Order: sequence, then structure tokens, then C-alpha cells
Amino acid sequence: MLDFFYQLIGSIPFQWTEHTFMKNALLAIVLITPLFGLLGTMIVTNRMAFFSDSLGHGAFTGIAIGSLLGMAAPMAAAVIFSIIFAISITLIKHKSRSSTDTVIGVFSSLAIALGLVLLSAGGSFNKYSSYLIGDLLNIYPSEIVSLFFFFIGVIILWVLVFNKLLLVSINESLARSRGVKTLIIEMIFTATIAIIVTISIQWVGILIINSLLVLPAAAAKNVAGNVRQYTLFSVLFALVSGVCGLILSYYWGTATGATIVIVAGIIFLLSALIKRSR
Amino acid sequence: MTLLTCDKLSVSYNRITALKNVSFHVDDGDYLCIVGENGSGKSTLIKAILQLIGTESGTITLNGIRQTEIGYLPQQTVVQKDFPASVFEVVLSGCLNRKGRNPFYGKAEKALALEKLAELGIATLKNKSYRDLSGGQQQRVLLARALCATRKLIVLDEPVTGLDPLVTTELYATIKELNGKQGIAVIMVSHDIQGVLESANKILHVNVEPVFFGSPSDYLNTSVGQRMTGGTTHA
Repeated sequence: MLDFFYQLIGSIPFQWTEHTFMKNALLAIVLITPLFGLLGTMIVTNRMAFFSDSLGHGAFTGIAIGSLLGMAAPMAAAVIFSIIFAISITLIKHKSRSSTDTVIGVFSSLAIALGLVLLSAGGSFNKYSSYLIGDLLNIYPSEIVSLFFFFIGVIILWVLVFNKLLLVSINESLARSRGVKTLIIEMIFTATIAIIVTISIQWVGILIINSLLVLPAAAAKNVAGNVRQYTLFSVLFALVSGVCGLILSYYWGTATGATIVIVAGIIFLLSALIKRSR
Repeated sequence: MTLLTCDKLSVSYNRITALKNVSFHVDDGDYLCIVGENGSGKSTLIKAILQLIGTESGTITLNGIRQTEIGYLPQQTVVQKDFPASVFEVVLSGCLNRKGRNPFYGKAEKALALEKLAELGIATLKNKSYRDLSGGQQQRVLLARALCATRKLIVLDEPVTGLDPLVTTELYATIKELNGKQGIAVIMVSHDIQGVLESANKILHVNVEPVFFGSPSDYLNTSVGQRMTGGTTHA
């Protein structure tokens, strides 16, 4: 299946399309960035930027725990830990009288500290530093296939829960009065973010992954007039940022994830200007 | 027919009593206004009616209507005010319970949303962005959304907060029309006692415990009624 896409990309008459690692990276971007755009809309709407940032920290601790347990692929441990982390914060947010920011701040700080302590314990932190900035050019074909199935899964889930999630985001008490199980919907949503953040960290990096979730959606919110536009623009901005960032990073010789975020940042600034000019 | 009966209802938050021994009933076509000072338990009572919070003791009985069939206009949230949704999308979200397990809204739900937009005189705003509307227009949209969920009973939580006097009067007139012409029973929490006295046929005054439940004219003859209305006398 991948050969078809390799040929398709190879037919684009640019030098960067000649390299297999660029073809892999492009396919990964086409699969990941729309999901970031999609989920980002609800993160921005619910003012959960701090929360999604903390998920990156939770994922890092998961990787640390996986490594400590001697797992060949610490990613599985990271995904499990991240889901537990995300659901725990959601539960505590519902039960605690402390402010949401405080709860997330406490969890986030503890998670990143625990991750750093575990990974630096053996004096071998350097081999994990790639998780901080990520390496999108190092993605394997098998991972792209996995990403494809994950992409399909998230889209199906999104279609199934979107209207309920929308009502929960806009007015939780109204949603509950309509019989929506708001806590369950929130848990499904946060667990999905946790999974996508965790599996993407190795390619995008902890330091900037949250920007990819927030910037396209924030830009879309500036220019959208309805929910359909909000979703479409967010996905489109994420995709354009991803593809342009990848190509620019190739020619500039810069870190791909960071370059993508710079493009997303420029799109956000333009959207803010459009909003002001209205 | 009695739609809702609340009998000796008590609610506590974190061991603090928010409501104690509150009893009242709402019949078909009633217009009940719940009044009281800040922190008196008005919004808590609304939440209890909608089963958003648990009760400590007492009962709330619904007759001929399910809890999810009560139309609800909650107080505006910050998120809602700035959310990029069209008027039609906001109103359509009121049909969530009608679409069953179907993830998408069908023709029937869309037709109902259009009908409610027309009823409230905001059909021309259908494709406008909700966040670009005036406060009065936004409340009409939210009222249309609430009406999508019900045919019998609507609960309004401070619907005129932040609206100017003219828009407030218009909104009251609309609610009164829904109550009078369509026979939809109304339960409204309001600070604006003067504004609702002419429309409501029942007043419930709570201050954690029930202070008064009866007709507006009887309410005005009580000391608390006179204090709340600044001594105004109504016919």
C-alpha cells in the first residue's frame, strides 16, 4: 500500500520528494496533523491548553517507566501511563475543590520530575533527549501503517461523540440536563488526546507538541463563523503547517517539529490580523 | 395536571445546607418565578429539578414528562459567548435527545430547529455566527434551543442578566407568549422581580428555606414581597 503513496509523492517534481525518509515523514504528517487540528478545536474551546501540555509530561514519565521496566518498546508503557494520567486529572478536576490549573500544575510538575529522575538515575539521560525535540524524519513504514489505523479509529470516535462533546464543551450543565454522561465523554476525549500526544512525542517532541494542538485550532477560531468552518479550518491549518514545515525544514536544515510550529504560529498571527480587521 | 411536584426538598453542598424543606408544584401552563437574594438557593433548586445535583431528602416528582424533556436555558458560559457556532448549530444542539443513537442530526431535528427559529422571530439570523449577535439575540437563540427539547416545561436560569431594559421587556413578552399561546409551563429564576410579576401566576421565594409560595398578588401583600419590590403594589 505504501508503495503507491511513495510513487505518488515521488512524482512531485521537487528534490525533497526523492528521499524515502521525506516520503515517510510526509505520510505521517498527513495522518497526524489532521488529528491535531480536530482535537485542538475542543482543547482551545475548553481552554485546556495547559492540560494538553501536561499530557506531554505524563507521556514522558510513561516512557521512563517503560524503560525502567526494561521494555523494548517503552511506548506501550507510555500510552498506558498517559491514559491513566489523563483520566486521573479529569477525575480529580471533577471531584476537587481546588482550581483546575492548580490540579493540572501539581500533576504536571510531579510527572515531569518523576520522568527526569527515573531516566537520569542510571546517568544515561542523553539517549532519551530525542523525546524533547522529536525526530519526524526517523519514522518507519510500519509506524505509518499503525498511524493509519489510529487515524481511522479517531475519526470514527469523533463522529460518534462529536455532538455530545460539543454540548459538554459549550455548557456542561446543559449537557447533563440532556442526559449526557459528561464525565465519560470527557474521559474519552482526554484519553484520546493522551494517546495521540504520547505516540507523537517521539516525532514531534515534548517541547513543542502542545503548540501543534493549540495553534491551528486557535487560528481557526479567529476566522471561523460556525462549527463546520472551525473544524475544517483547524484541520486545514494543521495540515498546511505540517507540510510546509516539513519542506522548509528540509531546505533550511532545521528541526522539523519546530519548523512546523513556526509555520503554525505565522498562520495564527495572520488569523489574528484578519480577526482584528473585521 | 400537575407536571412537577417538589416535596420537602433539602440539598446540601459540602455539608452546608443550600436548600431546606422546599415544597411547591407546577401545573400545566403555569408560570412560576423563583426569587430570592444571592446565595438563597435559587440556582441550586433549578439544578435539583434537572437532576444535575443530588438531593439530601425530599422528592421531586415529574408527571407526564421525563427529566430530559425539560427545556433548559442555563446561564451563559464564557465558552459559549466566544464559540464560533452558527445560530442554527446552536439551536440544533437542543435536539440532542431527539436524534437517539444516530451520531448526526436528521431531517426531523433540522426542521424542528428551523421551526423554533421562526417562532422566536430569528429565522433571518440562521447562518449568522452566534458570537456576533447582541445579548438579546443570543438569549432568543438559547431560548429556541431550549424549546427544541420540550413541549411542556421550560426552565430559565436568570435569562435577562446583562440585558438592557428594552431587550429585557421584549424577552419577557416572548416568554409570556410561549406560556400563554403554546401552554408551555415556565419556571424562571430571576433577580428582576418587578419584571416578572406581571407574567408569573406563581411566586416561590426561597432563602435556603421556603419563604413564600403562592400567587403574585398574595406575595405583594407579604412583608418580604413588599421589601423585594420596594413597596410597589400591583393589581
